[in-house]
Amino acid sequence: MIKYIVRRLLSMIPVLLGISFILFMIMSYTPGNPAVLILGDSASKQDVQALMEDMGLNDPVIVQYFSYMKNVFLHGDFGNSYISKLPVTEELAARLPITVTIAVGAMIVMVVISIPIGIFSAVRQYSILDNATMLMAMILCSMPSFFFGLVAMLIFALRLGWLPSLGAGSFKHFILPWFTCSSVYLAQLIRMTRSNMLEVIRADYIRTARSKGAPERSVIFRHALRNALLPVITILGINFGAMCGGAVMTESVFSLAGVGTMIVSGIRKRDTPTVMIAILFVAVMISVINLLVDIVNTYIDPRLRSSLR
Amino acid sequence: MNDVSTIAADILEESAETKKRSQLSYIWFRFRKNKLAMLGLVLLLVMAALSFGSMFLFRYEDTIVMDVRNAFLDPGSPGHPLGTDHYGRDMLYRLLYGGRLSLSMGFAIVAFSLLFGGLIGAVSAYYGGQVDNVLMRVMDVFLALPQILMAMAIVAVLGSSIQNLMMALTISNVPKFARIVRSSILQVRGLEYIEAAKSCGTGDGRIILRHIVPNAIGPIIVQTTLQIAHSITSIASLSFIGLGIQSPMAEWGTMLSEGKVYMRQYSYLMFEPGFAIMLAVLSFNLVGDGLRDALDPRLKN
Repeated sequence: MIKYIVRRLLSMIPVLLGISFILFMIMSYTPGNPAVLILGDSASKQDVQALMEDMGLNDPVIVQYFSYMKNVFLHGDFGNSYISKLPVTEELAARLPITVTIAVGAMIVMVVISIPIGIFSAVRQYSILDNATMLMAMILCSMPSFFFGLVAMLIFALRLGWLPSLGAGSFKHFILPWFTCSSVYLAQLIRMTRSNMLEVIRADYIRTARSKGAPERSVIFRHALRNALLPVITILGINFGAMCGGAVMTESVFSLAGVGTMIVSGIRKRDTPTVMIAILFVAVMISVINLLVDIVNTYIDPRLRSSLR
Repeated sequence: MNDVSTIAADILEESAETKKRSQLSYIWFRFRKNKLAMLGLVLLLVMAALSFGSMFLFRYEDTIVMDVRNAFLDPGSPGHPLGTDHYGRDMLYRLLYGGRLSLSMGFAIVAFSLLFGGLIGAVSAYYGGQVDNVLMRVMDVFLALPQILMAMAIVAVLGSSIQNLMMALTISNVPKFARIVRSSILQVRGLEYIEAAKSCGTGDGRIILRHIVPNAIGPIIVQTTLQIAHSITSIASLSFIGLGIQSPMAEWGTMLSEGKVYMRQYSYLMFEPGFAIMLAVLSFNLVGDGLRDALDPRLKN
């Protein structure tokens, strides 16, 4: 097991290096001169030239990339933001709690709501409730998260006044963002859980369990659910990545100062160090979650364990 | 010996051909029985007809004009069935124009991604070994990032315009299609009927066109339909956060982002483009689901 985890962690390295390289290339070819951004439009040509030389902007992009990576690896230095002049690690640390709260909360909301509903729908296939749930899920699936967020904000914050609409002060502030961030994936997960349950319920071992007189409750939860959840957990891992992307939308709808809005404003202002660390961080988070998902899967399905060694 | 193998090949091919024809009508038969899928198809055709048909009815420059005196007219006002926005521009015409943009961009993005992704996937599956390994590792790098972040970064380099937005979304879509095409080809390649065709002396080209493509294409078609829906959402999302199509162009995401400012008093400015996006995405999703069930009834629940 440990060997497997180490191997997986090692295999993340080339992927992350690849991402950092692609991103760095993209950011270097983005129009706009960082030296001008730092000094302002009124700066003299000499000053800009001197700063460019100082920052190494006159070097070939490859050389710039290697010096960036050298600083990262040797000194753990991700550079300073071009705009605020502060180390980007500080800004990331300041914004991290909000994004993690959104992503983890959305994940919990998604699991807690969609799996029970999916099971219920499968057990009562073709009942009115099942049909209604499937229709709702289909509609929710097709609703872009930012539209969902705005509609929820209009209803629950502006019209009913139950929840705050913007900002991040308390638990209440995060309820709408959690649902917004998870809405699309929640609907997908309901459909997925239902169809997996339906597939499993028809399997031979379920018939066996029923025929030996096992109570329906235990058939559903002990025999069927365990097998139906396996693909669901894999999807959960994949969705987490997409949800991190979705956090960008959620944060901008609710004006939250998280990593997502950091990326958007960094891209707009051509702040390479900020964009690099924020996106790399998201990539690391996604890779780690995928690893965790694979490990959890091996606990649910012992058959997978042999493939780990 | 040669005679026998050609006859065998002919028989095989003939049966494959009759099978294929009946297969197509079976698929249509199964699709037609699915009410939701048909609803999606009808919705889609109506939307396409309205938004592309309106191209002949009005010219954007003449019809969508600012008229501040008639700003914020409620839906149902004479001459403006869906109301007017904060500049007094007619919402219905703007939505129709947005539909033209979203639908055609969605199609184009997916077509290009399918072309390039399919090429990479096919090369990967065909050659296997090191080529496969290298190509797929490169795709992994792209797939490790959420698609929308990738697209955002690319738009930043290229600058925001319609062509650049399309290019960004195409590039970020390619790895997904490479994966899908590769896996559907690999699934078919090892099957007995391919071996049978080979043993009858059928040429490579014929095997690919007659046997591999028709059998591998099912999941690809389904994914293509669903990805159009996804692309429409992505276009709207990027435009919404200001990295896509810029105002004053009438794009659904841009319109939503303009409308959200007035959502307390004039909520229709937000709801109309929102529902337009939803309807387009929903109809593609319904058609995609219907196609999946029709192409492979075993999967149907």
